[in-house]
Amino acid sequence: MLKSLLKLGKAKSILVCETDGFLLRAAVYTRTGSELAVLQTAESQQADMADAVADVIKSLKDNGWEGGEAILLSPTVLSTILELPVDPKKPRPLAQMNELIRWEAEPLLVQHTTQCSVGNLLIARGYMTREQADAVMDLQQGRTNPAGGLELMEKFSLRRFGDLAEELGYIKRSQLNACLAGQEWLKSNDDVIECGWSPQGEVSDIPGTYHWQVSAVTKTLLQRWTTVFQMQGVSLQAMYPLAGSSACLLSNSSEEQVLIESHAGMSFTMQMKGNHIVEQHLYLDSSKSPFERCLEGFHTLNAANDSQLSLSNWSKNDDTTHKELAISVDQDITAIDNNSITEKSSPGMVGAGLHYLNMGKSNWVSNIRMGGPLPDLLQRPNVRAAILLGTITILILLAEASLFIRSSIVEAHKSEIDERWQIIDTVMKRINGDIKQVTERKKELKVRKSDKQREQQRFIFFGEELPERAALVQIILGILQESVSENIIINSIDEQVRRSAFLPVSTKLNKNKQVEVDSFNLQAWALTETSAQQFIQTLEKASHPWDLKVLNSNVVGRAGPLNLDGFVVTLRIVKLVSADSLLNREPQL
Amino acid sequence: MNKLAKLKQSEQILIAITLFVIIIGAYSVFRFVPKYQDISAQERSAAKTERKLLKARIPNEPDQDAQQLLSQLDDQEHAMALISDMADSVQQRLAPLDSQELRVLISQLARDLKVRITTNERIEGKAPALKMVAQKKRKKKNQKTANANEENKNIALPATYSWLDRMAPNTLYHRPLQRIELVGQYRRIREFIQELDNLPWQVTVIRMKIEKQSITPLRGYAQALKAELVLAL
Repeated sequence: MLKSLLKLGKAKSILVCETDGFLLRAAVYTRTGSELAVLQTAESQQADMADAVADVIKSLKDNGWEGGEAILLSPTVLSTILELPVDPKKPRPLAQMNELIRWEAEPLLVQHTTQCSVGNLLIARGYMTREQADAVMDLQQGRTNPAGGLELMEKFSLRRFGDLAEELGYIKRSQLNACLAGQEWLKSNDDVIECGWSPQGEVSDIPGTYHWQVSAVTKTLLQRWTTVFQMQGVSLQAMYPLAGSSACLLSNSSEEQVLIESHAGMSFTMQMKGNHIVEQHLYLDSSKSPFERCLEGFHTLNAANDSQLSLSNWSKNDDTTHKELAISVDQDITAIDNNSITEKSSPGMVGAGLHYLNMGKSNWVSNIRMGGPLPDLLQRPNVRAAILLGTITILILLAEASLFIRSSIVEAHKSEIDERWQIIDTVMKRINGDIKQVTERKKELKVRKSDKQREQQRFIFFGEELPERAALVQIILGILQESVSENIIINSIDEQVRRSAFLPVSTKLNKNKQVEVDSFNLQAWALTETSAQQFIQTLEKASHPWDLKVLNSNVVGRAGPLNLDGFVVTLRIVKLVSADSLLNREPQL
Repeated sequence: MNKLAKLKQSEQILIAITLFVIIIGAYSVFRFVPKYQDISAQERSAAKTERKLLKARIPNEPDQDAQQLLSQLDDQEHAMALISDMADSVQQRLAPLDSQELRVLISQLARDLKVRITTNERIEGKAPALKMVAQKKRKKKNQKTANANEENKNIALPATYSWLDRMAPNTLYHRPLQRIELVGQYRRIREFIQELDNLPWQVTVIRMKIEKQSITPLRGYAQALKAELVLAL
């Protein structure tokens, strides 16, 4: 998963360059799904590779390429198999591993760079034959040769190979210069090397020792190429060996596989068992035909008869190699093919492009990265940073999720509670409002009843009671006038002042449940007792029609005016009303 | 990235821890904690509302309908209007509280009927209610006199109380009271009392005391009487 994530971070397109020292070929590949597509191609035959790089990049940019990253396939990059006592499952620290690989690869690289000598280059270019080169070498080393004896050795031993070949007339100066210019980009005398490696399987007969595919190049050359690309605004990411990169085009198989690559002047063979490389060889011989080189290379392997053979042959007009090889080994040989392989896009370039874009069989090719090989996935700072950021992101997402879930639960609960409360609150407010309204109206009703009662009382008092009182006074005066005789002298009539509590009726009720409301005390004097009694009776009779009562009548003998003997009469004329009518008196409407 | 690759393991761990602390810390301070507090506040609010819900008691519906009370109020309004109409007619029979004209008419009447007024003074009744209010005031020192007077205005003493008490100031039946002492013959005094009813305004004798003069009349003359009347004007 982490790998696929890293894949997303990779560039979608890559510029792949390939050089054999004399020609620079370039192709821009892009990822289209699981396939690789060629966007643009360019080629330059400039003798100086700096000019060649400038040429191809200018050409690509003129055609719309926007620049970016590049990789380079070069014959100067060594690709070999080392047997190391390092288990890929228990890798050593990067620095230690680097040191170990360098130690093993350094002599091999020195040996490998000999193929980039002027002589080999001149032969490879076809400017001179192997025999001519041997003759020049013999002259340099003073060996017996057709050209001369010991005197010649003294003459030529200190001469350079190219100069000697020119002097002998084998090559022209321009051809020599071209080769020397190309050699600048293939060879250096630097001891410091940069490596890349890919773990393979365990060595069958040596337990604990494993095969490691190693690529190596001198640091000076790597930097030189990097600078050249940098000057053109392109970032060189890695260098690949010229031979062996097409292995990326092979697919996994449980059976033994053999890859045969045919290049100009050399062949490359690789043997894989159980998806691990067990052997690989580079065979150089410009004098032989491609078929012969491939056959030689194949025979260097201890391949089984039932091996799956694959041939990566890109030479133009070379249809015979495949057939001849198949006949010679008496086996079917699968030609490596890919949609991206064109006249200007070699299988090696496509394989390297697939490898760089992590689309092909990655462990059968190893590259040399700028800045050294990548450490293990978990040791890479960018991976660690990604893990850290991923962890933080996951933590934050978890926290957010927990917040969201809790918030949702709480909000749902709260909205439900609020809704219930709103319903109850509405009902309570309505009922309270009704109660308030009813209370206010009751209060208002009470006030109005009170007002009404007061008005009634005032009306009864001023409209009924006071006129009744006036009438009573008239009645009393009338009764007195009618009851008085010649034998009676009324001394005084005085109204008794009532002193009652608020509701005295309850205490002063008589047997008829009547209460006194008005009382007049009368004092009179009679000449005789008879006349006194008659006076009382007359008063009682006169009072009766008016609902008045004569009470507490008393006749006592006592001297009167002029000291005449007589009788004093005292009595009370009272007005009685029923207690009920007193309390519940209603206006007479 | 190259610079990052050159860092030692311990430096990378330190940077990672620092970054972790900064990012997680910033997230916690600016996002998680405020949001968490917000949710907690919502939770507390919900719990509070829930408690309110548990404690809430829906009051009983009022036993009386507001509309019914409204119709009762209307009935009272009508009754009040009717009573007010009647009260107005009675009110028109009462003289203004500060009327001097009525007093003059009473004096005129006495003069016309040859009744001599010896005393003519304004008096005021003393309602027992006032005494009770005074007692209450002693119990409730904060209660103001104005309130007491206001209360007395609504007091309507029953008929068992004396007229003087019932018509005391600050009661419902308050009227100005006039105490007069008359000297004259019985017939004149009675006529005087009768004629009071014929005055333009209502005058009622609410206390009456008539007694014989100690002076014996001349032969053939009626006994002179002294009448003390309290008139409600």
